[in-house]
Amino acid sequence: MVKYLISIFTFLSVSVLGIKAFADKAASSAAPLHEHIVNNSALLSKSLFFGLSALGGGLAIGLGVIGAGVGMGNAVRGALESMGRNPGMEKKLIVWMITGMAIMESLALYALLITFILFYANPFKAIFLK
Amino acid sequence: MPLFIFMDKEFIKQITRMSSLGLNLIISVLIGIFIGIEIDKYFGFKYLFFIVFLILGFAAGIYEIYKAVKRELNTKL
Amino acid sequence: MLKAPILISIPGIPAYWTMTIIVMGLILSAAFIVGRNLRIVPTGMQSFFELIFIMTEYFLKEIIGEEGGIYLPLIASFAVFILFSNLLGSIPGFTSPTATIDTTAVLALIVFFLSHAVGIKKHKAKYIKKFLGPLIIIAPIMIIIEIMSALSRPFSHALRLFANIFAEEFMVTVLLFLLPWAIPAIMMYMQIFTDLMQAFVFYLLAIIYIALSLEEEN
Repeated sequence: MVKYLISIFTFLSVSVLGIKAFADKAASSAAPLHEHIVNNSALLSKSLFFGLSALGGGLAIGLGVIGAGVGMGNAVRGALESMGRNPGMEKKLIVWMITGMAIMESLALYALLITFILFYANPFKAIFLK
Repeated sequence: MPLFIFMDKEFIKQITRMSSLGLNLIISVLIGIFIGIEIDKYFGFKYLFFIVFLILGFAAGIYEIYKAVKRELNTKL
Repeated sequence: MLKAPILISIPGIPAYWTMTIIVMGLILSAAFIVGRNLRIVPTGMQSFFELIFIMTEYFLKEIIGEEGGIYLPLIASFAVFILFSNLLGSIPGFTSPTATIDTTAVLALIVFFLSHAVGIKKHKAKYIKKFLGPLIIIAPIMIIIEIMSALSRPFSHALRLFANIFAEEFMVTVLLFLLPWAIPAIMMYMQIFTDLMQAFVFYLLAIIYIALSLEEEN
């Protein structure tokens, strides 16, 4: 136990020291922050643009898939319940279930499309990358 | 006959066709957008044909679903 | 983009061409070895080829009808080629040729042109009636919609196989870079199910698209 604690503290102190040294070096070499931003407004806008694009893409696929997943779960549950009540209708129900699931899947694919557009074919790229 | 004899031909046909409908729906929209943008470039419009073909592409996807569903309603399993 | 290491590659051409050549060599040598000594009671490789042959014949007869027999060489070779090239990705050091859009697009375009050519050959000028929709009044709009939905078929046909195979290969590659012990191997054997499933779906959709353009309009 003590061994682990010692190793953890060593790791933490070394990393803190390293970060502090790095920050000191960066602070001594670079200009004050507001001048840095004024000099590099293009850099700031680029980094904001890429960061927000990545964030938007991740949120698009994540939130989009939640809805499709809940819908598919509901569809399968309904189909299975009615199959249990009426096994004679099995094949018909499976086909209808697959139809509904295909349409829900297309909704998830729209979200995926938005993600791909944001990552690989961003329409606003021309404004920020001159 | 092989082990696939227990599968109904109409059942397996419909299931395969239905499962590709989701991709069809989105790809027909994409084809519509592509055609619309190309026609806009050719004639010099800004958005007219883009919107028209976007709607037509969505209609094409829905129509594909309609055809498959109509076929399913007419068959007996 | 992350890339898994590839063992064999002929310099100057893309990696998937090499893999396609390997797949072709494998199929040809397997067919040659099996064809040398055919047995009445099939064993091993011969039963695999016979299964594909009988299955394809059954589906063609059932879905297209009696005239479906002439498509057997094409569809059965689709099945063998796609299955072999999907399964090649499970061997470390190789990639599937079907994990690139080029291979699958060519296969889908073959089906697309074949199905429409066969439809025109069978129905002659009446084939255009399939594109006119139910009512004659809305025919000018319906023809655009029908053409667009006909164009979307080869895309979805190609994209489905490509996306599935590419996604599973990419997942194994990412796992390989994150955590190179044991887990990627498990995922590689999980691939086999997807490989079989996607090969079957591609093959069945090819039959269905031919059947849809052959059937009578009611």
